[in-house]
Amino acid sequence: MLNRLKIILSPSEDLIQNELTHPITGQKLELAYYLPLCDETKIHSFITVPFSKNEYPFMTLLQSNPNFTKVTDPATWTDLLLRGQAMVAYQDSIFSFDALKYSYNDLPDAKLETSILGPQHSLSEDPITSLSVIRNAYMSPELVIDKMNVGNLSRTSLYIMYDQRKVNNHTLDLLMHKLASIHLDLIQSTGQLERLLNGKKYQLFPTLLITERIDRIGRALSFGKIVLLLKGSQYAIILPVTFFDFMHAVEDHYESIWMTKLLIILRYSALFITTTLPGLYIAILSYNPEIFKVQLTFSLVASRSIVPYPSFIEVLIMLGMIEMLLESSIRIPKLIGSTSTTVGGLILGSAIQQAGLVSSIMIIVTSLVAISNFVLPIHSMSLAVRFLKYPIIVLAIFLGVAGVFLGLFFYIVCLCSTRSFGEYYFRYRGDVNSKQGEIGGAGTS
Amino acid sequence: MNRYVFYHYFIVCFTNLVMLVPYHLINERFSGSVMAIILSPFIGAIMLYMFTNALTKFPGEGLPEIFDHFYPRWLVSMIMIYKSFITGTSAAIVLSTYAVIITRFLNPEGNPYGIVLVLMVVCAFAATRSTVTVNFVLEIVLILSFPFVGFVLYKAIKSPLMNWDAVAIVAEHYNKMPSLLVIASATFVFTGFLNLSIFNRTFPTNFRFKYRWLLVLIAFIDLLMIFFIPIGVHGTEAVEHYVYIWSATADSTKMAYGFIERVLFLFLIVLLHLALAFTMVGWHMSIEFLRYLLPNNIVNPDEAKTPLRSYVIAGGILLITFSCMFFINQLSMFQLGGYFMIIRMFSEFVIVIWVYLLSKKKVRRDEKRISI
Repeated sequence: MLNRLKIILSPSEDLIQNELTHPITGQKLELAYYLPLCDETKIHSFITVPFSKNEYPFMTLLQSNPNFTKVTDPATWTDLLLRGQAMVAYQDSIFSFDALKYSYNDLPDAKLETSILGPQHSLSEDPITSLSVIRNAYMSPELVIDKMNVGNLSRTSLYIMYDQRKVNNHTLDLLMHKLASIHLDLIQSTGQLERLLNGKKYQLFPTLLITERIDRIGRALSFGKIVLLLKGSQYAIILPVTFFDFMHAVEDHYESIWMTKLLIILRYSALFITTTLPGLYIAILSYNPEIFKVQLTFSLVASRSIVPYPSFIEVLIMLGMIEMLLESSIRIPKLIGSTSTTVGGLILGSAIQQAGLVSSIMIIVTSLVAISNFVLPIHSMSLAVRFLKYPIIVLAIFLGVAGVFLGLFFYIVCLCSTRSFGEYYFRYRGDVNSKQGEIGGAGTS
Repeated sequence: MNRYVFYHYFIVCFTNLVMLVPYHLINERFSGSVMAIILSPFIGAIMLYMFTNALTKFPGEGLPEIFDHFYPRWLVSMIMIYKSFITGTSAAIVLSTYAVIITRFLNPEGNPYGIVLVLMVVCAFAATRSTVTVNFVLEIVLILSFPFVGFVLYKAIKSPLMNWDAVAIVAEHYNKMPSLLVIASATFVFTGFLNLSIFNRTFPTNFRFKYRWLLVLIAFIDLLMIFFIPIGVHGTEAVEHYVYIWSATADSTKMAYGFIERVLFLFLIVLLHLALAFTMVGWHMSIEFLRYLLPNNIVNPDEAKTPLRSYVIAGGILLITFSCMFFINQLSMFQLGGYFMIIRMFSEFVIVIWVYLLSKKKVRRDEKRISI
């Protein structure tokens, strides 16, 4: 049975294939099961222990215990294994043993990427639990799980998962090459690994997607992507990714189609607002107030009339404040967390405006920038985007409106020149027709 | 992949709104412009078909590689220097014209040299990226700006100032003989296909050109609008008082709803991106042409890391262009721009016919090789 399974199933780290020989009687038992899917204690107490004790004929146990079912058709083997059954071959007959373990209850709740209708759990810090959930989410015999150790001292286990049939081998080679070149003593979190794998050192945008959602991982696997799972971290890394993956929430597949399309447009407008609005505020108020209608310009300038310094200082003060607020709300213990938002957001915001240090329009701009930043569904991207507004502010100070849009052009160039493990990161992709071929020899970088 | 051909065609087409083309055409609107506009699509279409047919014989190869098959290195180097001069200059004209427009309309107090330097640095950075990247940037910029270009044109046509009688009066002068300058200006709209002399490298070997007639048709409509809308908006006589005719035309329309009232600002922002993309493409081609001169040049349309030589060449182009700006003032730029148009037209004729003959030669050579 084992030889045959080797042909059917893709080589996988978590597939346990044992051949037991009884020391006294010399009888042979073949045993195969997926470790993350099965309850090992159950397998021990029902199969290995009775076999080695040999108190009464093992065949009798197989035939009498209703948990064992005789399997005649080899075509069902993979299906049974993937459904958490252990396969036992003994004396030319094959039995399946139901050892399915549900580990959903051990999972923590999703914190970063919450969804309303999707699964509510995130991955677990215990890799075996996570693997079990992923195996359950992507029940395919083609799923390969490789294991390797990273970090010279820590020897942290790293699981590499991909669909054998769909994965791009070039990407896999690049990843292995990259992983082999990591020489660091301690690797403790997925974020650290992400930075190590993240292409160039001074890269603006993340080229790997960190996620905690099981459905996102399952979807990524089905598209031939590679998933990395680090021991002791409840986040997985998906690669290669495109920019558009970062703008996509898993809920987009669960909810009403028209609202979803609208939400995607909303996310892109939020991206535009959060990067350009502070710069536009400076450019319009200090350089080109005539862009807006007269009434609008008047109300803008009137709200700024008591502010004693130029607009960019105002912007820098407010953005500095909001960054501190965001940063402190991560560090503050949860019990007193609401204090910082009340004091920072409500009291300080209204007081600074009444004191005439900052115009009321600026308060609106700042809050809009902060809110629209969190519309982006993936944390690492919203962090990267949080930085993008500062270079634009600098350009706006010196060049006005033209500077803002020059900065946007620069970002488009940066996005387009980024490659995520040899795949194009940012491109408008209609249907790539295999008949027509791909542009530029399909990723040689 | 045919959409990338479209992008290269249209970036040249749209950027003409800012270029010298409408200026020259409108200056001679009573003496031959209309005739030139009618003739130019035919010239453009013949050139387009000759060049693209020739390129199908050289799949995945740029102009340097094509010439390299047939001629000694020194001759190809001369041609490449000349080609890079042509593309680099047209890009520089667009960028400097746009910098002047910015100082006129957006930052009247700004230092024009500072602005143009920043624009140039960004363009030079973009131009040093790989050929595939430049393709993508062009695609994104065009997709983003296409609706706005359409909106500005629509606004101008629907403007209450638009006077169709003025258009008819100018159109009646269709039977005058055009001058060389006007022909050169009008055909410039149809020369976007020449970008393929580098960007053909990115296309897969089984690439086929499709819908080429559509390119010419849209470019022709574009040319008609570039020429006739300002005449309709400003009148047959007043139109010659403007130097940046399209900025003035955009400024004479207004949006009744929304934050922004004057279409001009929308137009300037769209134009900024078009001008930057055009310059990026032009300089990228110049860099790729000049890289042929250097020893051990590896042609890779999607290189992972930009080689140092690209940066050096880009810096050289930037320095030359920037120092030229000190010597050429705005008036003489229009004059020199006119001469440049004529030179460019003839050199493009020569290149297109040359490449076409080379493709015939290659076919003959391959046939001979097969028969042996």
